[in-house]
Amino acid sequence: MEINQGMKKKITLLFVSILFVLQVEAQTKQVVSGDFTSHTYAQFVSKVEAQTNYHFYYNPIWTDSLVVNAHFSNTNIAKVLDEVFIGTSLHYSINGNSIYITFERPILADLPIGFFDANNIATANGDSFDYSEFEHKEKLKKQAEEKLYNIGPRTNSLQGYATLAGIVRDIKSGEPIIGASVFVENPTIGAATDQFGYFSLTLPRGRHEINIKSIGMKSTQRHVMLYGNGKLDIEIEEDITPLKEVLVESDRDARVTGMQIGMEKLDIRTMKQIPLALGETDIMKVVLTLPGVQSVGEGTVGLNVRGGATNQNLILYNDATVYNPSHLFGFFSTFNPDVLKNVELYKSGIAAEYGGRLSSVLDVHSREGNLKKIQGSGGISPITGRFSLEGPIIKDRTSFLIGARSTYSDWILKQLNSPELENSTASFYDLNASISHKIDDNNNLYISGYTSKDKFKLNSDTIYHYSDQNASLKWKHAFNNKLYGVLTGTISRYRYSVESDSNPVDAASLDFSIRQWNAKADFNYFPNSKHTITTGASLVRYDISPSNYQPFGESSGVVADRIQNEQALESAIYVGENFEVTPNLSLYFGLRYSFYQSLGSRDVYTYAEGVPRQKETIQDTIQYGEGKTISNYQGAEPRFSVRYSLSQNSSVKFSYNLMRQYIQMLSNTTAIAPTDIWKLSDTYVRPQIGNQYSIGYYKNMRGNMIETSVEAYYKTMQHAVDYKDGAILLKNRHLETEILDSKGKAYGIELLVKKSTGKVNGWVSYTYSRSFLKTKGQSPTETINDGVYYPSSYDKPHAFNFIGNYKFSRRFNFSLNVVYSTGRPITLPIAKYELGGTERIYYSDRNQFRIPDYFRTDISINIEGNHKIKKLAHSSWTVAVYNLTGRANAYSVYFTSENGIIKGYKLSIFAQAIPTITYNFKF
Amino acid sequence: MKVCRIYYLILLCAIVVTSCIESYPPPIINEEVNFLVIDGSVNTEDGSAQVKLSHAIPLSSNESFPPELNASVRLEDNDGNVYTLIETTAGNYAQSNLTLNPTKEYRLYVRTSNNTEYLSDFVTIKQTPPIDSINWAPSRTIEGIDILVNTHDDTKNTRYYQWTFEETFQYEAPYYTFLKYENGEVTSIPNEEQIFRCWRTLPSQKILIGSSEKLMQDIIYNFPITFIPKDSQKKIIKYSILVQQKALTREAYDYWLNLQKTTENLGGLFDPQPGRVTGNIHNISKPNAPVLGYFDVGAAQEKRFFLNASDLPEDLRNYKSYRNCAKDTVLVENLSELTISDLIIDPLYGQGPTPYAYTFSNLICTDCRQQGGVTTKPPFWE
Repeated sequence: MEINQGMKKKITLLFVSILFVLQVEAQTKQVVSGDFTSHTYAQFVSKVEAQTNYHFYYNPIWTDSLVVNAHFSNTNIAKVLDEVFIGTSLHYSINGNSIYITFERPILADLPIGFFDANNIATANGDSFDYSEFEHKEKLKKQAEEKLYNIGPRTNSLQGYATLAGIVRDIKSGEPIIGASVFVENPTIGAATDQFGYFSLTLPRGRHEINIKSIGMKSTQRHVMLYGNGKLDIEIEEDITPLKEVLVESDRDARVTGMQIGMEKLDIRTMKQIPLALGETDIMKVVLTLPGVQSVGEGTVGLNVRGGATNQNLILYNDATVYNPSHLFGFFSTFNPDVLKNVELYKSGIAAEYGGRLSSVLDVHSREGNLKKIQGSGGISPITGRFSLEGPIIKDRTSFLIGARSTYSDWILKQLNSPELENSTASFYDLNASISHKIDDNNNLYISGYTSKDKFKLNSDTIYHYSDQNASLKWKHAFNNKLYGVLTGTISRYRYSVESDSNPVDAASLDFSIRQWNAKADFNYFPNSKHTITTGASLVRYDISPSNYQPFGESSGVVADRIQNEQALESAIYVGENFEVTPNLSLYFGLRYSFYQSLGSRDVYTYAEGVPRQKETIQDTIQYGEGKTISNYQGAEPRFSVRYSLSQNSSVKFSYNLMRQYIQMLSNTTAIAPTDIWKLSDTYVRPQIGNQYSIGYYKNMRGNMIETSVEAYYKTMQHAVDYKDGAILLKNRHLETEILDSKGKAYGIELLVKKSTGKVNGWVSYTYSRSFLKTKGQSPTETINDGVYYPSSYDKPHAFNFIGNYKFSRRFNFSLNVVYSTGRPITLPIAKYELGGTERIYYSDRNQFRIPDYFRTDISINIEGNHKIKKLAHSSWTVAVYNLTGRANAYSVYFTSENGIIKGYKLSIFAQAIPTITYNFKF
Repeated sequence: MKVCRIYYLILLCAIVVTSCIESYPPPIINEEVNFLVIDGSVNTEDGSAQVKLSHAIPLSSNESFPPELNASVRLEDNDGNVYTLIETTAGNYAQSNLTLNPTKEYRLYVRTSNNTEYLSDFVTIKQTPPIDSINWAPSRTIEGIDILVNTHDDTKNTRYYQWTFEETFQYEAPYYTFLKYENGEVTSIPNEEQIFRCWRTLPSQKILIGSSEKLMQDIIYNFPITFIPKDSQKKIIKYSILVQQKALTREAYDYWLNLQKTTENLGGLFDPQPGRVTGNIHNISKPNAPVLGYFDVGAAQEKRFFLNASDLPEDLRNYKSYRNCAKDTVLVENLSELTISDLIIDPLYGQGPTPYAYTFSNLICTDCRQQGGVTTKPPFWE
């Protein structure tokens, strides 16, 4: 017999009845015999129920992973159950012919001592008797903290080590908590929960106090008596203190004590405080405030991480690659803030499980959805509206999360009634959906999907459409406490289409699309407290349609022109090992080996030897059949980091990593443009290889309240992509004649001071960094700036960021954001001359000048609604002013010939202070 | 100077995202930019060759472009025939009545006075098809009209086209004056000296190139060669445009396209990074030294088009506006106080037969030549 949803109520009633029928217990004891080897719990129950008069009452979720391995002959039922439940969190209570199975908390068959004695109030220590729903939450929590959990089968010998594993969850929503620190202080052994909220600690057997700390969550602890290997799931509570701490203790410790170097982690709540331009939290813009991250200008989401190009960042959304993280060519990012959980940016010390891009990994996770109740949230800003809904499908087991976001800018454009806007449209939407399902204690399933569409037209006859879609399916299986594996399959697809119909005769559409399929298996193994081993393999298939040019409309005389597809297969295996040599010294060794094949069917041109590659020097065409290997590249990608603690609150770290990149975005514009295409490595375009050495010093002060760090790096890049002057990248059948092979180097130092708690919190960072490219080909046309190093377009030596929050009261929060950086390099004309009666200009060497420095101040005020608990919806208002000083920061400087005369201009995008007001709600 | 205008960027919307364009001074440089500019063309129709040699100057300079004097300039064909060009005016070298063979290839040789030698690539001669038609249409984006060119080549050999034009328009001064005050006397202006009606001719300034390479047929349909805003003076009365069409080689097309991209089509969010544009002329001894300009051979086709303001629909017409042209009055006895920039418009009569006063206005309001035109009617004017 099973008890499901109604069980809690029934049990509650039962407590009452139990009190009055205590004496009934043990009247009808019966015995059990038989072989129960490898029985599931359900099999065991049905066998026992068949033999005896007992009926079992239990929740199958608690028992579905339980395996019975026992043999009994005429054994007393209590003894049978003792043996079966040993090492689990299950308890039983026998009442007549009914056996109630409870989870973690036994139903006491005896009244506590002094129950009927008014003068001797029962004190809750260890096991208490009141486990009903009526329990006050605080009491529950207190009890959980005070209770001693017995892990593993009780023994007298407490020799050696045992592994404790489990999942840390949010008590309110049931969602796993990522990156929570789970640690014991003596000896110092700790772990951070992974993306599933999973932790595994190998500890000496015996009594321990386990501390749990996490961003935005109340710190808690559990007392365990570790007899053997076992599970302990921990639910922790959200810290609703109004201070909205930017980062809590776990991360503060982590900066010094963790292995990671050059890694930044942002929680969605941190991001929501930062004032932003268009009334909406935009994670890409927040990431730009971190040290070492730059962009070429406002209104672009292209990230330049530590002197790397914009295409060298691996952007993952729930493990699926995102090819275009922007809406409306960069004014918004594609990530709906309501469904996000956190963002991790790895700038160095990239672990072996990641590969495929040189500069960084931006790992974005969505939430899993509330496991306990239906919940919604949304917001309205001057440009967008968004809504999300989440909740359980099966309580505590399956949850869903959907989010939608759209803009009504189109509608506003129409209202403005301006002739310039009559010909403009701008719209986008995106949808997110995810389901997470707990199959049983050891198996979880995650499904996530994303789709977006953009359409815009800028006072012209050209319409841009683009859409980004991705989906991922993840199955996590825990083999035992020390080993779990994740099987992941993802699909990503990005495409755009440009339609132009200004002239009916040459009206045409140009489409680009890229598809990527990815399958991978990852394993995490925790053999003991000193080692963590990760290993896995992945396989990526790419399929790119570089250009499909088609006539548009009836009268179009355009000849359809489709450039052949590119296909490739990228496979990799990796192994990584984290070794804590001593409490002061930790090492990480990782090795990834990637193998890449460019595949047919495809025609490849061959060029004459010893002369510049040009259309004119094409000699022959080699045809490769379907699936034939055109070229292949392979190589090892070693990763190494070391951490040495100098004292309890300071440490030094060093890391080295080598990355290989087999796919590149081609763009000869400064900012990421709506028509940029991706290109796979092939015979002529070689994979990019990047090396990075970085070193960091970390020190926390005033009881971890203030964190400081200095990180320095040196990077080299081989086979980076550069372009000839005036390169044509679209609709080009011989791109290799326009692309140049260049070398890059970058170095920098990043200083950060961060105060995470208190009424005043925030961070200040200063970065000095340089980034150079060198293109020296065999001929002058293949050489840029005489083959010497020149600054890349994103070389901004000085960058300063300040982000501060001040909490006036529970309801008012004030944030200030100050950004300064050196202007980016630019190519400017140095001379003018006359040709055909008109003045023309002659340009300097590439990137020899700079646009004026960038400076911006933003403020925002968050006003929370009242804090009444019983309300239909909780709401908040955000009033923000972007670019408070109204400084017209240069986006670009250009010189153009007007009526025969050369004139110079500076273009700014946000040349004024921009106020916005946003309404957010949650129910 | 700051010309910030409220400019609705894409979504710009309610928040009025303002993008702002300010003028920007040219960069200060300290390198030598005195590169030779060779602007050469050969017209196979009439057998004339024109080469202009000048030098580049720093962007910040306000001086004129220095001509290259006393150079030796030659036209060579691929059979070794040489035609020498003669310096007609400072820096301008020309020759006419050359007998050119359209099946041959030609190149340009230049030796400057300091003995630096330059040589162009061989250029093939392409035949230019005639212009089929020129017409106008309301512009789709901004209020005004586009002047459109149509052409085609049945042999599909042309594919790349370049246009230049000369536009001429008739306009009038705000006030008609037939009197002048000269030597203390008011006399009438003879008809042939009238300064009320003018014609002004302007050359094209932009690079105008088009291609039919994407099309099945070699057709250029409604290529917009110029735009006339609604309130332009050009179409108050009558407008005419003479369009010259020239077939380009693929190389020449690429050159002009790159020059257009890097010197005209800038200022957007997604501009390509500008860079140097290399033409088809090289420094013989220093192949990497920059040589500016282009050498082209071919024959142009011409067509003229007229547009009467009265042919335009009402909503696109522009009527004469008197702007800030105020009339003032001067008494006869005070006529001597008139300055050189004041012109008499009308006499004012009292009781007597002679005027007691005259109305007058500024030169700009009475003399159409002040706005750049000439009073001579062009010979082609209909």
